[in-house]
Formats: sequence, structure tokens, C-alpha cells
Amino acid sequence: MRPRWIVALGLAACLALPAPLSAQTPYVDPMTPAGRTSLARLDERVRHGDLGRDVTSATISPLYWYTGGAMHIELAQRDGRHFGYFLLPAPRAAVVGGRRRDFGLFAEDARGIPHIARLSATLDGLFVESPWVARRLPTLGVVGRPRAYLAVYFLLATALPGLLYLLLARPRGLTS
Amino acid sequence: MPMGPLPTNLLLVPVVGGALAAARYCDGPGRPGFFAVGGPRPARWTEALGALVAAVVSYLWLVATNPTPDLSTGAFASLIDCLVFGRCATIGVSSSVLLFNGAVWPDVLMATWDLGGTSSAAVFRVVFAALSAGVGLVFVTAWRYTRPSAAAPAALLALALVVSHLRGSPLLDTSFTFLFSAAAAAALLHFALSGGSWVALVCGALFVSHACNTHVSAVVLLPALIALPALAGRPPLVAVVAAAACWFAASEVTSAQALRTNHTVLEQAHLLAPLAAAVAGLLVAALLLHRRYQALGPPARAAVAAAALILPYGLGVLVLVGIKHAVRAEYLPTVIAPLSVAATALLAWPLRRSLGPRPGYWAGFVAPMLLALGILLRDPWQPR
Repeated sequence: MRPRWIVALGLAACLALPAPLSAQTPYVDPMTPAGRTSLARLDERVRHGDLGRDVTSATISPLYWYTGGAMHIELAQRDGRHFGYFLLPAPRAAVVGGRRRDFGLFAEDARGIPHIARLSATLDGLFVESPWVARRLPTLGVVGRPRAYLAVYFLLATALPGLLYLLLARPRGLTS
Repeated sequence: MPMGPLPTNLLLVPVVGGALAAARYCDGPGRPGFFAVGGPRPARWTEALGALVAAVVSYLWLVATNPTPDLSTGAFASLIDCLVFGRCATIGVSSSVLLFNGAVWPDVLMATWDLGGTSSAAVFRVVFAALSAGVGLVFVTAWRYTRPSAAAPAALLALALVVSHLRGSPLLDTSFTFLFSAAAAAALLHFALSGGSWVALVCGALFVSHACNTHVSAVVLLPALIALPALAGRPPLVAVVAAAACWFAASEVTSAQALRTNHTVLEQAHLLAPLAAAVAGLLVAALLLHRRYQALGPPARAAVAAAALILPYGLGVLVLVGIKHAVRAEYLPTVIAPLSVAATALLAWPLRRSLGPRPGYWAGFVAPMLLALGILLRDPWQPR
């Protein structure tokens, strides 16, 4: 098989990916109506000071950081120290990130009582200190593997045939 | 288990000796130019075997020296967000120089995850494998586009530069740009030399896009993506448009959000007009030189292609110095592949020229290998 056909087949395989695959993309636009609703709810809670015993005040600031527009909320504790940032992954739960690997999680139970837990997210897993939060993480919609999405397949479908082409292609007209 | 400096340095003996033996084995009569393209070549299987050996030795070397991964870096934040919190975005971390990274690095990590690599150790092995594949690609590029005897020395120099950059910043997203930038350089070199192969141009554009969207340091490949189609394309303007379209389409699929955000950022910084003027100037200059380029022989064309791939990196370094930004080792992978091949050809040239086509001609490659050895020995690996 000629190298150019390998590339053509790779690209065709990429284009022939089933259409539903693109519909399954987990990409989240933080400016979607659902995202805005979530933020508005939390904004209300912040304004009413309903964020738990340890938190006295909060400042909301939209930062275009690695999530490309996620909402971060800086919190201050009673002792004056800054607690971290809220990142909002679901309507009823929020993640607090002081450092990038070291998060806290804010959630409320059925009676509206807030729970704050320290949480460490690494490539090897998620570690949660609060048993209440750990038990309910799946239902809170915080933990969940995203489904396969188009860009990964595009990357593989272009990179692998391309590399193969470079290995197989023979330069013409170079016999000087 | 991490190895101390002494055993690691002892490992250099077979590695360097093997590269020198390969250079001698593959050497043949030919012209001693910088880029002596062409000439008799050993069997094809030797090339494939050599590339495989270069990649495997590189992988074993990187694993043996075993840098401790730096998990505190933000390079993994996107993956954690996507895997743990279900927030995936077509944008990567923000760089320290205005622009945002694309989403190729998180996508690569995601592909690793989907294929079963669900631990940090697996992710790092994938990065090692990509770096090693890049070294293998350097071997193939040097073999095919300069001379077979230059392949092993060029691969060794590439490995030395990879190890050198890893000392500065272990296993960041910038490391992964090496494979894509090496592939982009090989494809564009193939396009520039083979009389305008369209498949090579498409591959080059895709790999430049993937490299740029892995880390923004790879934007130094963009001038080559503009200049080489204009110089070698037939017809040139159509080649430029095709390259730009492929680059844009690939960037749109992998990193749409980064593309738009970077456009906005450049617009707000009033940099869009100067950049457009620079692109237009480069394009016009390349189109004006199109006929002259077509009249050149393969070695001269290879030299022009190498300059187009390497010089923008120097310009990028000058810009960083100009804005008082640190010039970090982590930006090096973008240029390691063409730099290794060009430096090998350049360093070997004086001795090879003075020796002439006689037994011992291959000894000219001692010079680039001494450079590689010097880089590897400069700072013996200390496990972190």
C-alpha cells in the first residue's frame, strides 16, 4: 500500500466516526444557560452568607484559567485566612481549590446543611477526607469519567497515519 | 530503581560506541557537503532497524535515569478537571507569554487514560515513549535527508538534548511537543525536497497544528509552514492556502476554544495587525524567491528548509529576552529535531571535507558525538 493511501485511510476513518460521538462530547461551556443557573444559585447562597460555619465571606471572580472561563470564588475564613477557590462542577456541589492538586469540596445535604471536605485530586485517584462527601460524590455529579470524545480520535487518526507516512515515504529526486 | 550518576555515565560507553559503529557501518562515498543528500544507501531494513534501536535505547535511557515526575505542575490540571470533575475544555493551561495552550496535551493524556493507562506512572511512560519515538524519527530524517552515516550521531545528539531539557522541566506538556515538532520538521523537509508532495504538506500542517496546540512554544514552526509551501509548492500560493487550511481545520477540531481565546488576546494586545503584516511580508518574500529555490539542488534546498525550521526559534528566544522573560530549557523540544540533524551535518563537515572520500571518512562524525557526550556529561543525572 502506498503511503499516501495510508494517510487517506486514516483521515477517512476519522471522518467516518459515528456522528453521535460528537454529540457525546463532555466539553463544558461555562457560559451555557445551565452553567449560569448554577452560578446564580451559588451567588445567592454567597450573598446570604450560607456557606458553612468556617466561611465568613466570599468573593466571586470569573477567571479565564485552564478551564477556559470557570467560575472561581475566593473564600475567607473566620481567622482571616483565605480558604481557596470554588469551582462549580454541578448545581448542588462546588469544588474548592487552594492549590491545583489540593481541593476542598462544598456540598449540601437534603436539609440544606453545607459540608466542606478536603479533597486531593491526582492522576492516581481522588482522595476525600470527609466520609459524608465521599459516599455521595457520585450522586453529586462530581466524579465521573467523561465519555470518549472526538478530539482524541482526531488526534490519533491524524498522528498515527502521519507518522506511518513519514516512515514509509521515499523522497524522490534526491539522488544527487 | 533510580541509578546513580556513575552507572548512568558508564552506560554512555556502549551508547556512544554503538552510534559511532553505526556511523562507520552506514558510511559510503558521497559529497562532503552540509546536507549531502542522496548517494548510495544501505538496505532499507537497516534504516528501519536503526530507527528502532535508536528509539528503544532512548526509551531505556530515559526510564533508567528515571526523573521523578513533578505532579504539582499545572500541566495535569486539565486532565484532572476532565477526568475527576467532568469539566473538559478545548483549551489548555495559560502560558506565561500571553497565549493559551491548546487541548492536545489533555487529549493525549485522555487517550492514554482511555487505552488503559490510568496511573501517573503510565502517563510518564507514554511521555517517555513519545520522546523516544521522536529520537527514532530524527534517525530516519537524518538517514533519509542527509546521509545514512549521520543518522546515529544525529539521534544521539537529539537524545542528549532531550535529556538536557528534561533536567530543566521534567515531563511537562512541552516535552510532548518534541514528537509532533520532529514529525512536522520531517514532513516539511520531505515536502521541500521531494518537489512538493501534497501528502507531506498535509502531514506537516497537521503536525504543526498538533505541536502548537500541545504547547505554544511550537508557534516557532509557523514561519516554516508559510515559507516552505511558498518556496517549494507547485503552485506555491495554492500550497500555502492548503497548508493554512489544514492547520486551521486541525486546530479547530482539537482546540477551538484556545484558537478563539488567543485571537481575542492578540486583538486586545494590538498584536494582530503587526503579526498579519509579518506573515504577509514573509509570504511575499518566499513567493518572490520561489523560482530561485526551484533552481537549487537538493543539498541547498535541505539547508534552506533547515534554516526555515531553526531560525524562527532563535527569533523567539530574542523576543523572550526582549520582554525580559526567562528562556527556559522546556522550550527546546520544538527545535531539537532539525537542530540535531543540522548540527550533526555542520559539525561533521570540516573533518569529513579534509579527510576526503577514503577509509576513515566516517570519523568526521566524532565531532557531533563529542558534543552529545559533552551535553550528557555536563550534569550527571541526579534522581530527584
